[in-house]
Amino acid sequence: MAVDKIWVFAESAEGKPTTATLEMLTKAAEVGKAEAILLGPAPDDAAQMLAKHGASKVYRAADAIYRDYLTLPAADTVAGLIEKHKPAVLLFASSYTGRDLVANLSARLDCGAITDVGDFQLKDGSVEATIPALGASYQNISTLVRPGTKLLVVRPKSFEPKLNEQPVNVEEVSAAAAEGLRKVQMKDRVVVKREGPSLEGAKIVISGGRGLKGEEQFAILKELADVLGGAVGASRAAVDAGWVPYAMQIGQTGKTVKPDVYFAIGISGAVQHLSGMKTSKYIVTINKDPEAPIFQYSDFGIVGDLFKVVPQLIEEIKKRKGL
Amino acid sequence: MKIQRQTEAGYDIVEASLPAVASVTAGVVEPRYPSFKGIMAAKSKPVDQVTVADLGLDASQVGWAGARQEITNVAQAPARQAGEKFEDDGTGAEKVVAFLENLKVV
Repeated sequence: MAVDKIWVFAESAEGKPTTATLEMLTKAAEVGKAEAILLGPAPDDAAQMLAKHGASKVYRAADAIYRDYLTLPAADTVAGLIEKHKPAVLLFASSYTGRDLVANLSARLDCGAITDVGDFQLKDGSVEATIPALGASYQNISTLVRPGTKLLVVRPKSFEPKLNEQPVNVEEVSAAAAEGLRKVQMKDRVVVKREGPSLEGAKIVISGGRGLKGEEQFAILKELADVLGGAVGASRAAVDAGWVPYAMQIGQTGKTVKPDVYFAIGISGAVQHLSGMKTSKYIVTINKDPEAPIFQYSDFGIVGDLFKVVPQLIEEIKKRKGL
Repeated sequence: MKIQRQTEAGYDIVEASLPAVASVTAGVVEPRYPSFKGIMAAKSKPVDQVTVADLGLDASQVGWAGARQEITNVAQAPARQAGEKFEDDGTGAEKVVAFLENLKVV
């Protein structure tokens, strides 16, 4: 019996496959035969990196058209590959590119797609996907009813990337070329300089909410993050109040993080915020309200004034670290 | 159409030929508050009601009947157990550090 092909649309950042790509490859190799699609300019060892994490095959087209023109060239190539090889499932990251592509493909192939997938399995000739709902307090199980390749958009940090060396097996595919595909042109790429670790990759996240009361007060969270080597995040309340930029927002309409330790400081724990950090390994809470819902999800909580506790915490950590 | 498109690293400047579909992220624009004049004018603005048939579609193509995705089950997510909670009596910070040391974070 043929093993089901589980494809991953691979993406790169800073010269490497994204963590999301490696997470999806790991899961794909567990479910069936993992294969990757890699489009656009990439370092020479990109295919090798994908093979190292489980890709039995990499469909490759290096043409600059995929970098210079958004969505349509990639959709065209991917649709062609799907038609030719008919994989059971095609996984996309919850990235800007992934979402744009899936929107286009699901309409083009009239097959629908399931987004925000936390886990999935093959079942009854289709796919069964688990999606967190209502701020991650519920799970809904969904399937796609049309025949054909199942398109899934996977939540970040759903799977643990693992090494799984496969022999490098690259199949060159012809690049998209039609003039009609050049409708959305990339003119310039602006990189916003970021200090410290990115939120998504940080092992320690210090997050502040309404309890911080203002923009300047976030400086103490920054100091705590610095001594712990972590990143600073925020709840929607702090972003809407204009104290911190949207890039720091964690939650349903912000980023999803899964650090080893998540500090929720002056954050009440609304379900929308929880959905962005609920799967953190450990949650430490500092809040002056003992009834704040966040305490029900914390591994360790202090009911107290954050403006007293946090500076003390910084001092204690500095002492321990000999800083 | 010239667009600033958010990316993981910052943003791209992108130009799209029309017609185009643009999805706009949260927090981009500060919405205006409607003026009294605007609220009054809204009452007499036209609202176009269309039926599925008006759009040249069949009932089987829209709504539940036309859905490509089907929800087969809804269940409560496994609960996360609450841990310890302490009232700060001046030693709260020390207790947190002890917790962190246990995790080998400090």
